[in-house]
Amino acid sequence: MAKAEPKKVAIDSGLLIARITGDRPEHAPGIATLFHEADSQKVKLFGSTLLFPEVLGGGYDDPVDPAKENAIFRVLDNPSVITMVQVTRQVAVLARDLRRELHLKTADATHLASAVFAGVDMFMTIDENDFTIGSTVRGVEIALPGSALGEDALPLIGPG
Amino acid sequence: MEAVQIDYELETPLDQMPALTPFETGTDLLHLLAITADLEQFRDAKARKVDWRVHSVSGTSAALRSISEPDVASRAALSLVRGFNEAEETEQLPRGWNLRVGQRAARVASRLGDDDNTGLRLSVHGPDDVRAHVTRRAGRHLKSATDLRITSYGSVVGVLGRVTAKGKQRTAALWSDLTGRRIDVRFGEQHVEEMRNAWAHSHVEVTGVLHENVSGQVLRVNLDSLRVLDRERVNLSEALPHGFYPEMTGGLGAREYLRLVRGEG
Repeated sequence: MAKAEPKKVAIDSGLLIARITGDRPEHAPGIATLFHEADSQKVKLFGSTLLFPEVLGGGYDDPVDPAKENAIFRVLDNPSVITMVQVTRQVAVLARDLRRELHLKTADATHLASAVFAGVDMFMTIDENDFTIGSTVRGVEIALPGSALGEDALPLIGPG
Repeated sequence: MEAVQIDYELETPLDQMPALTPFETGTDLLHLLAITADLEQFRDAKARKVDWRVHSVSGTSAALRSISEPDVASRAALSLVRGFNEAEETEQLPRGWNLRVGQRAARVASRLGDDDNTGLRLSVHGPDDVRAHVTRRAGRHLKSATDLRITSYGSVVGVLGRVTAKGKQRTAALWSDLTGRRIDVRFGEQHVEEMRNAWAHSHVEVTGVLHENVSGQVLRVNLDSLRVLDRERVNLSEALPHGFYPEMTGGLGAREYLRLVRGEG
């Protein structure tokens, strides 16, 4: 039997920051499931290049831990882990449209536009205030992490 | 593997298209097959050449049959016919084609009729049976798809195919990670060695002037710089364990941290 194509899932900065810091623990099992699916290549991850300045742009730890920051940078910079979607002219124009249409903030519109441009199945976020979870935008379903990724999806697991 | 055969039939009445004959169409198809065969061997250092023979001609139809390299012939023929099918539907350059194929195919299709009864019927017979009905619509779509009217500066991440550096012709094929489509990379003499070295690596980032069509397909990059990317497969769950760096945000929650980083705070 032919191997099933992996589901394409885009993520935003808030989801990654929650994973790294342990914030929003209610979403930890869902994020863990998503990561396990990516590791078993049932999911292919996508993200906007905005992830670099947003996830790693703060530098609020005093002092910053270079080893931990480097670990995050290496994940974001590794195309075998996550396919980066650049903010190209077409993504920017789409972000403009989505910002107006859905009254999104510029950064949120850019993340979503990147997901739409990449043709993903789902855009996963923990931002329930700015995105309408469960809605579909230009063919992309907006979902919380851990939402059903298909029949083969793993059951929700712990935060590890 | 058996020989591959492509049947083609012109439905366009000859009195409407006096310049178009099965012979000329066959010549065009042979040119296109030569390019698609080359493109299908993108990772090989040297491409194998496929020889084709006109197998039968009757009225407005004819057939081409491969007489060498049947595996390459099959891939080339399927790429060509599937590409024409795609071109009938969208203004995007078909998957696996380059600009050269698109431009030549546009010329072929532009000479056909404009409705369902005046096109060119193509079919490939072999392990995969694929058919296409090509009309002038495909010609219009391909003309638009190969018109690189938008330029910007940026980069593309992907896998390099064959690198060619003969005299002033210095090109490489890059398969984009994002779209899975082929992009032509043009580079200067100073990058020849770097490109050849990068060929063995799985992923590279090519930065330069991006040329795209109105559908937003980046089809050519004039290279300024090249970066070889990490190709080590990383386990994400282990690389970024839950809560491994809570101090990163200086005690802020994810929402507050993002607001500050975005200048909204």
